[in-house]
Amino acid sequence: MAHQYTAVLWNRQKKIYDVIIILGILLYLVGFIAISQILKPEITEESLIIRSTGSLAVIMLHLILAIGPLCRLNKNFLPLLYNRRHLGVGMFVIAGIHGVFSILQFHTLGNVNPLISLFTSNTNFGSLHDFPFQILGFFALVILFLMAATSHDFWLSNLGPRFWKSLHMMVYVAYALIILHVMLGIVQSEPSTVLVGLLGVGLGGLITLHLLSGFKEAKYDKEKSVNQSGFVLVGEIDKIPENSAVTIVVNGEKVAIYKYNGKLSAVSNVCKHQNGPLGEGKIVDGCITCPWHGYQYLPENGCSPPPFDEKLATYDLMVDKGKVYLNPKPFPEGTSRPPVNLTSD
Amino acid sequence: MIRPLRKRHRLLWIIIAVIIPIVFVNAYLASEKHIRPNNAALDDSGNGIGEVILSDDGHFSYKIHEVNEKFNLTVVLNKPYPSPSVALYIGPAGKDYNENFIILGQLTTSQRYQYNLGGALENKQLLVYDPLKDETFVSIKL
Repeated sequence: MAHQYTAVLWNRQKKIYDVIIILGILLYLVGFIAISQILKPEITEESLIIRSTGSLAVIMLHLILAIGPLCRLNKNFLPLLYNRRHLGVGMFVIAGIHGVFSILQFHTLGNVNPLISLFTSNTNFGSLHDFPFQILGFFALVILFLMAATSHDFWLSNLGPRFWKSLHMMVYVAYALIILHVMLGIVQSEPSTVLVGLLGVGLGGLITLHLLSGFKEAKYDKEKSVNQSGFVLVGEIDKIPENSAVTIVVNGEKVAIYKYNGKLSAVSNVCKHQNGPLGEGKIVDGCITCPWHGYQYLPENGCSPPPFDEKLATYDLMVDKGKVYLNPKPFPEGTSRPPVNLTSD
Repeated sequence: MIRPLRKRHRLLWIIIAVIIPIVFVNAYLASEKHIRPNNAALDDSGNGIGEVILSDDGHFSYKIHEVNEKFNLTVVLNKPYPSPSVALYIGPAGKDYNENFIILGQLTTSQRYQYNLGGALENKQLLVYDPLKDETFVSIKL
């Protein structure tokens, strides 16, 4: 966590995740090259590299962008989220190989600087059909580079969460550029209904997932009203799973109410690392554990265990007739609040 | 995510859901209608000084653009030459290949090539020439 930047917290899950990423990449590239050699034996090595890495980067980007909404729709997808950053950096490396080989193939054979050639060899900006699609890919690659280069927590801490998050939300701009880059590239170089169809399925699927999860969250983002005693009804105790949480919105943000070892505690739902949804995590080793990157907090006081120093706001709870109520007034971050003991209720 | 970020995500995806499919479908429809001539990859939008011209041997199309009083040549090789040593040269007009010709670059695979021709084209010509076989394929007076 944020105590120091020197050690990446490698654990077994992260290593398995990375092995799967590398094996998946190798399997795809080998498969693509083998099938291409059978179907199009005349294809050059450069074209093989450009096409295999380009298609793989697009597939990886779709997977990366699907993980977030999938997790919000179904918690079973959360393990995919855990090391998504490495998947993103891997995708940038693949996209970078595609970009470099494309420039070598298409823009280094004349006597004009390759980057100047990239921007001047096609100036049909007024034509959708002949639009210079390579330029779109170039700008997408620049965005992906900035994201990959600043993906480490060091940059999150130094750039500040607001700027860092805004920078990384540029992935949606990159995605739009890449969809148009691929679509116009297919149209101009090798029109194929199958490829256009596959791209359309990916685009449609991703839009559907994001809109579904977005509107689902909008439903839960509605504020709970405060009753006469100043408390907010959370719900029935039995509806809170053991070692897990439910969330409600008060004061414009979610609060996570955790049940563990016959006790209830409430903390802010927003992880200090990257605003991860703590209410979708679990109690692991006595700590609330963020589902995104494994940051941990003690439920009683919202503090990360030593030597880490992140702190969350805490809240008071009360239980009456099997129902849980929350005082919406937050205590300062790291304030210890006695949990509600369910066994004595 | 915090609530403002969730809102921003929703808004971004609504925008993507509206704009990208429209461009996507229009690009596909444009490709359906479009029949590409051999020289379509060249810029024929009228911002260069010359027209798109097919070489005498039909191997490539070319166009000369003027940018800031300098000339750029774009070549789209539609049909590769039989020898890998074939290259494009520029030199004095009306002459066979000699040591005064400057190589612009090789013409190998079928694709787009771009060359900087400098500031003055009077009394010059382009040669597609194979130095190994000492064979000239095309001569273009500039």
